Amino acid sequence: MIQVFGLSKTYPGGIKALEGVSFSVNKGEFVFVTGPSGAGKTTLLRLILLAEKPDRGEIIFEGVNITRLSRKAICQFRRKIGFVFQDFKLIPHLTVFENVTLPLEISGYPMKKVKKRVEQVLMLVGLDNKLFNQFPPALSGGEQQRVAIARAIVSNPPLIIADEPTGNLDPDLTIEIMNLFEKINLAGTTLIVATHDRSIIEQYRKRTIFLQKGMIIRDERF
Amino acid sequence: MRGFKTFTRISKGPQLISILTIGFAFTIFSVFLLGIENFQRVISQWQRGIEILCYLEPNLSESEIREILNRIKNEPQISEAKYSSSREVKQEFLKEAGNLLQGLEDFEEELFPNLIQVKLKKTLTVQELKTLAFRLQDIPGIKEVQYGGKWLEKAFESLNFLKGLLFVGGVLLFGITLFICSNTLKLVFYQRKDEIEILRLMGASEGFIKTPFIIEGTFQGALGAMLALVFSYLILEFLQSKIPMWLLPYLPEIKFFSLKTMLSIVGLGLFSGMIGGLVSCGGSSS
Repeated sequence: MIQVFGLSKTYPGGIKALEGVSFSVNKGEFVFVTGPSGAGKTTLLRLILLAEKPDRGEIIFEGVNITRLSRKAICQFRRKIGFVFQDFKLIPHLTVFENVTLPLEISGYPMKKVKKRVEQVLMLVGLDNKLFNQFPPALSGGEQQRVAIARAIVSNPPLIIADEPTGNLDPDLTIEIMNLFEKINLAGTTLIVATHDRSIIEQYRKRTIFLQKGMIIRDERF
Repeated sequence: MRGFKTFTRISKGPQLISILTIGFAFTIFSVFLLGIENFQRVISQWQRGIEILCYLEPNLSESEIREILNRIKNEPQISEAKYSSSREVKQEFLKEAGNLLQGLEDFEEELFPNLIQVKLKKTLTVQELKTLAFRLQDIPGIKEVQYGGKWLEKAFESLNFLKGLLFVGGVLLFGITLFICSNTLKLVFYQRKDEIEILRLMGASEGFIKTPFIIEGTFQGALGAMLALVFSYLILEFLQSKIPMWLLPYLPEIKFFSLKTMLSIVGLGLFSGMIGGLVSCGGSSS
């Protein structure tokens, strides 16, 4: 599904975030990206999301070189990816329901079917329907992350990228969220999850790419 | 819909400041426009009721006067011409002057010339009026023609000057409104850069991202203009309440804007707000 070739990124001030990173991810795979702080995990995910441009290297997604897309094509490409971040990235002045609706609105999903689809997904991530009209700041961390996951999967993207999705959660919630990811993966969605939490990697035993100082030092498959 | 939700739910402080500032700018514009509108109405009324007075040479015979009347009535722009003898003029003058000229009834009638009062079929421009007055002046037996032309000319000159000022002021205020709207929205844009980044990561088009800002600007502009109308009305009421009662009968009736003008002002506010919204996110598409 994704092939990454010789990806490099240096930030102003000469900080090398990534150096010649190459790997590929197959459709339906669940991949952890791990490493210490500053290893380049977030940069790698941001480059795949096209939130930043690489200095060198190429990313091929479903046979298309996404590093050379036009602005319009970038929008189209991003609609194929769901994302989940440590800080949830929910829009605070939109309700839970409205936040989850956004990807559908953006992709022009038929308005008649939106309500049903959003309710379905919110139920799937285990959110009580009493919370649907709440605003994100009124929710707990676990609930907010569920909303973020619901938003990531609502448009049924083939790939989900998660950057430290459990970083702000307690161990019980971490397990709940990871189980949810596993469930999503079992339904056929490809997942790339960046985490520095060794216990998660050990517990879930998925393919793990180890990064250090912007380079892949190990690629373990279980 | 998202734009409206955004407008009603967030950043009330900058929004309120922006609406108030736009409202203030538009109030200055509206009050000025109100003054000009009323001035123009007074001039138009004056122009509509204008009468030409033709003062005749003394000692004209009846047939000469009839001849003058016929020549005046032959003018296509004139609807009515009425002759008044010096005696009638004196009586009319004393009647209008009332008690102010008590004791002056003994004035010689010869002091009051014979005259012909001329009424017009339709409102004429200053130039048309001037030409007609020249033609009447050329009729033998007419000594002098008066039509208040100089006053009318001066009034029109002042009106045109004020209109020019209003135009310059209008352009200036439009610019100010754009500046206020775009800066407030730039601030809002900056405050919501995280939200914009989220939308971009979801693959939202620039139109999808910018529309709420444009809607927000439009709302601000329209609300600011509405506020200005309220302020202008209150200012007008206040000023009218300060006019001494005895002066009222001598002043022309001061009117507030017509519905059409009010809608135009709100439309102008709406338009400037919308442009302000567009300008605010114009340079923020990276």
